[in-house]
Amino acid sequence: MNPQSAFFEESARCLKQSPLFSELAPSAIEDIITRCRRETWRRRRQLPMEETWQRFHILLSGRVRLSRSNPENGRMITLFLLGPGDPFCLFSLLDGKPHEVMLETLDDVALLSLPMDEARHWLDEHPEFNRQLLPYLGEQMCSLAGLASDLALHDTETRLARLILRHVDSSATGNDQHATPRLINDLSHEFLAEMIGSVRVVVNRQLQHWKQEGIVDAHRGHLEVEALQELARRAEEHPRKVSA
Amino acid sequence: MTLACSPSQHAVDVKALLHQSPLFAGLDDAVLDEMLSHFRRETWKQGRQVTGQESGQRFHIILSGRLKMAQINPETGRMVTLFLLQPGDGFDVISLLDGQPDPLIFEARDDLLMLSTPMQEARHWIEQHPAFNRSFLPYLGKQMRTLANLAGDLALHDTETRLARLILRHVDDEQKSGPLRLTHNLSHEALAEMIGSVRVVVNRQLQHWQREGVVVTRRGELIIKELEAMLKKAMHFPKHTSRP
Repeated sequence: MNPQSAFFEESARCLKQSPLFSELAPSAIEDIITRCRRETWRRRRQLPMEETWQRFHILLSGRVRLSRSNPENGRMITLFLLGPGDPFCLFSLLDGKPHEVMLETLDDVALLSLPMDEARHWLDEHPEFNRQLLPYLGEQMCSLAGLASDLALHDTETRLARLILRHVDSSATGNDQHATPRLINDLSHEFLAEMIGSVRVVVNRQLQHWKQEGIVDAHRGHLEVEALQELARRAEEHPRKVSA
Repeated sequence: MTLACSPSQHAVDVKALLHQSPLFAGLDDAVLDEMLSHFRRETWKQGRQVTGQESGQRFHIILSGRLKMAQINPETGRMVTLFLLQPGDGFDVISLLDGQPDPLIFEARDDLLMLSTPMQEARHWIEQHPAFNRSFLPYLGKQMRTLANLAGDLALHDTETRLARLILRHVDDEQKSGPLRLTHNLSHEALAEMIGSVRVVVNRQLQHWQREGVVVTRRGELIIKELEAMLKKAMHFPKHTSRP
């Protein structure tokens, strides 16, 4: 992208807030943006990662999910939900192979993109980037490990509570009890179900139940946490089963 | 550098082993020697369990034996194995990256011979050796793929498919019909923990496959007799499985 471009400033602003790029020197940020082109993708675009893995992308606005599905039984699981500042595909950047996932835009998205080879080259030239890349990878690994162990070890109520808590920014809240989850607060129940390996009706019933208990407020597709500590308790243990 | 194993085992040529490790293969001798000077030898007896809190202070490299890295649900005691690590692997990488996973459990599946160094020292070493990225980043990519596969399988497939996929992931290309190296001598319970199931289910499944002639078990070794049939089980979601 040409530094004179109207979008250059906006891209730099986004990267400065990104969990992956925020600590880079302004010159390094400008260097990477200069090598990128800007793309816009329509909402609800779906494509297999195999078709796009040879370019490295950084989301500027909007959300993208990476998921897998089993066509034989119609089940689907979201492995990553990405927001502004997040890159994809990280797996290909690391080991140069495609990742077998389906990519889907949840909003109209704007992104930066550059050939994967060039991204890897940039990585070689900026060893200082390690300081942020490695902790970021650590977080991504935690999130995958958490998803796998939740699926194997916990019931739906616990998984849903943990999903919501993972998207609550603990530092940003002045009020101890109330929070708006990041990235997921306007998603459908079906979508939430696909993030925890469950189905729509179960998530729907659970949210209704929490609503009656005053733990969450969910209306017109917006999810708010009303009793953060109680939700944290649900995320940690198996409360006595309530008959549905 | 040569270290003696337990009296019954042969001495381990550390450098030869690390040259074959996916994590250290790319390092030249001088760098490897310098790295090894930070490490000390450590042994764990088979069956020893250590929590992530205890082990998280040091970074380990496995020289011989296998190690299970798992997460546990303290309420039910159920466990899910995130990684079964083998010689040449490092642990735990998530703490090394400064990630904060849910509580982890490590268990020695064999007598373990390892090298270890304080976590902070390992991080410092990596910072000073950006060339290590060339093997470290692909290694992290592989670990992340393992976790993504585990989570995907748990959410999308039934136990028979998950077990078939687990077994096939541990078959080397050259020895498709031979015994399984990494998973050999594992109890049905240990296999169950690798796919988020329980011992009786795995036991019944293996007996069923044995009657079908797909696998044979001999003195704890699991041998695939019908690779094609196994591939089919790993790929398809069987609608009607005739179980005894």
